[in-house]
Amino acid sequence: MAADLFHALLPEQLLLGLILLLMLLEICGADRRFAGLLFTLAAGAGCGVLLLQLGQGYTADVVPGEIRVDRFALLARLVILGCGVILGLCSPAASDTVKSRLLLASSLLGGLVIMVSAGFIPLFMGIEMLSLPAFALMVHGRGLSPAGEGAFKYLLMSSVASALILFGLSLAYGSTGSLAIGAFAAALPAGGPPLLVAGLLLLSGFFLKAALFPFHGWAPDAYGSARLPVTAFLASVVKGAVVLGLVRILSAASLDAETVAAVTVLSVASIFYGNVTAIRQVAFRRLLAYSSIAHAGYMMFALTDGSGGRTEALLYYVAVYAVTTIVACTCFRLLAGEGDELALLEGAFAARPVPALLLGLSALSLAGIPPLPGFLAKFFIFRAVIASGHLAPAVLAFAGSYVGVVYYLGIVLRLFRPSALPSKAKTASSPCRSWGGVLLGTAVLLLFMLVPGVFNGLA
Amino acid sequence: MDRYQFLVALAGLIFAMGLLGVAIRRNLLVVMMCLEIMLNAVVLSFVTFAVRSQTLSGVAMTFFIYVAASCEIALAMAIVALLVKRNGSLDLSAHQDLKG
Repeated sequence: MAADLFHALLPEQLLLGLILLLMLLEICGADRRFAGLLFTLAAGAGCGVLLLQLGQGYTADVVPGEIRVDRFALLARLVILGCGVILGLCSPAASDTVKSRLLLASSLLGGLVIMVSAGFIPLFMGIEMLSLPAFALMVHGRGLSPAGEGAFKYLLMSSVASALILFGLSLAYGSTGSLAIGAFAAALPAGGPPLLVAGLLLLSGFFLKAALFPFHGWAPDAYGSARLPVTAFLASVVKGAVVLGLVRILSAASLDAETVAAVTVLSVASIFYGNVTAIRQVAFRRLLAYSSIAHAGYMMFALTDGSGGRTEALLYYVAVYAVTTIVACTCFRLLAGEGDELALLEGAFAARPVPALLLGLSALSLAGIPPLPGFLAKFFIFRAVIASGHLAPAVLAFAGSYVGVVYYLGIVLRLFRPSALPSKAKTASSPCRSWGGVLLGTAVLLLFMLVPGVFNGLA
Repeated sequence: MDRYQFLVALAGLIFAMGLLGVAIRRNLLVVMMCLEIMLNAVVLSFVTFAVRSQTLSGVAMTFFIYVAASCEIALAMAIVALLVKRNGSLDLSAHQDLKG
């Protein structure tokens, strides 16, 4: 039992050890580069352990009814932790203090706890551990900037979402008498008013956290006011963990017809709203926010599938989306420094071809241009949805996704347009550490593109 | 209506009240209080169901809810202090630098 607890949760233990060590370093006032190295090592070792366990086909019921390690838990943790490694490599050592590494590690730990939970208590704790450090990360080192306002809005909306989820859970607990996820998922198809209300509250809480269309109000402000690496973190790890958490709850349970209809309407509306609003944006981080609203739409759209193919499709989608976002953010930072206007990108290709090319490719991948991985991810989701018989909404969502091409192409065009401003020395210092993250991210995306069934190959 | 139904209905009512408060009140501190009211309603509902079903997991959940709620409020107060320092006002509508 004790050995199992250690072995099955080794990535979590590593992160926990890292957090304690970073606290110690913070107290001693150690060098921040050392902290970055430790962070990368611990997260990388965690990924290695997960890959090893995937190879063995490891499963364990660590704490019956509360924590279970299965294939989904291993893959989802690999996605979250992998994003953590890439993010850690991407953020230059100079701007990242020990404290921000500490917060990043705590948030990642929360994401991992969500993925191993088999009961609602660890799931709830995981969600809180995921989002609380994110608020702190947003205001950390920003002084009296608008970041405080963005963080407050995010905190408020996220707490309301937690309260909605909790109220839904209490109703589910009332009708099943148990806080195990399995009991809830098994009782869901049977229906009954309390369970229906519970399901709706739970879904709306998760939609609020994932910034789906009518619940998106906080996202542009939160994304727009944070520093770019933090925005990348919010859009990749936090959003991905929330979506995968919902998948963890619903697993293969099929939703009833009314819920499917509601989810379809919301996600298609989200795709259109996000893509149409993004066209008007002139700031990169706000554009990213609206694009992430549209992407939340695609991810939630997969929930309407009842044929069971959505888990794989969503794992692939979340992984591709998260890594692409991180690569795009880092390349933008390499090109434009601390600036945020899209106009800064003009003529970037002539000045610095490699990051410009990578940014252009990630934008096209987010738009879903074949043969890039973003296209494959969308293809898997639409295939799963169409296979379960929702052809009309899938066609509509597909049309909506091509509205998005407009602004992604806008980014690419700006990159190649000759610069109007006399090249005002794009002196974004390019610390070589950022390059490590970009290269790793690109390699991962390349792997996703060449081997779309990579997650099946691992297990 | 037995007392369990009454308590759950009461919890629902308090929860709705808190949600309404978060939606319409503009004072940062009052908004946070309304948030806490929502969480307390959830706790009431958990305890009611735990007593009715004679299981312990609902009671355990309430402890975790209180832990999470106090962390949340500690962070929120720090951010509120930042906001007040910046604009000198507790009014949510005074903080409109971002477009929403």
